[in-house]
Amino acid sequence: MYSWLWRKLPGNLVQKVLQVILLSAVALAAMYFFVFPWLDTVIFPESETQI
Amino acid sequence: MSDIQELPDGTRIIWAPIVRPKRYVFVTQVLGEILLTAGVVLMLFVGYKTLFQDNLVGNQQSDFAKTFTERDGFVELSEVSKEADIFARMYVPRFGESWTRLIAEGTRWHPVLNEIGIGHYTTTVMPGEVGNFAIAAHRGGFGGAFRDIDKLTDGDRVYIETKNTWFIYKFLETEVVLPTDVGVIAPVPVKLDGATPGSRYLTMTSCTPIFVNTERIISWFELERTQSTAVGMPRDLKIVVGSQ
Repeated sequence: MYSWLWRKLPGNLVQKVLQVILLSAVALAAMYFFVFPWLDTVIFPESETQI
Repeated sequence: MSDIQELPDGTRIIWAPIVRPKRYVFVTQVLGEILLTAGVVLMLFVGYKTLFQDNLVGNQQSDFAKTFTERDGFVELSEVSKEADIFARMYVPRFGESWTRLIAEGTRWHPVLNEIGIGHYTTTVMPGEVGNFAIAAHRGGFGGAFRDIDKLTDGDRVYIETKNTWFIYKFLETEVVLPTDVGVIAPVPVKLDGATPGSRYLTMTSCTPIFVNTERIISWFELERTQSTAVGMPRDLKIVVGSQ
């Protein structure tokens, strides 16, 4: 999966590494600002008995 | 299954057939990568819950508390009637010199504990009154306002600022109890050594252990003194927090 993605990235080694860093940052931001806040409400539904 | 070819210069070439990986090898490889990815995402989620979200919400609640009176003002204690009415600001020097949170009516996660920080048990009295002024806040997650409740000790004080009055309470005792021990917020708190009718108590409640939440940690205080907000912040608190 990851080797396939690596092969599909254009450019030389440095360009590929930079693209991987950029894509990872975008994925991380998407998770922290959109996916995890949503997941939080699914995994930990409000419990009025726990503070 | 290989052929060996020897060149005139003595170099030996070993010819071996290309073995294509079987289909199950490809499937297990992809499955392994997916599971590893899921593991990393799970660790990131734990980091999000324990660090990112906690700090983010904690800072929001703290900033909200520090700038509140200039914008909105506190609801008079006698006029508090509905959920999320904000009627006080709390300072606990033991939690840090810049630590401050607002206190609102009600103890539901939304819209009180998660957004504002500290909630007042509606069945208990208001600050300064005879009986037990009981409040609750998260220990971990959503700002974890009472994260350091276990560090409170003899000599500690908490300061409750309301519209007209500062209430200064001194620390009495901390206990870990079961969630069913609701008597800890009674007017004469159950399990508080030497509790007497007619006293003016403050009870801080939160969950323990952090993120486990199987028990409740309780800290009791007793009213030490009051002073008008017209004369400004209590002198001893001002030394700790400066001019905030």
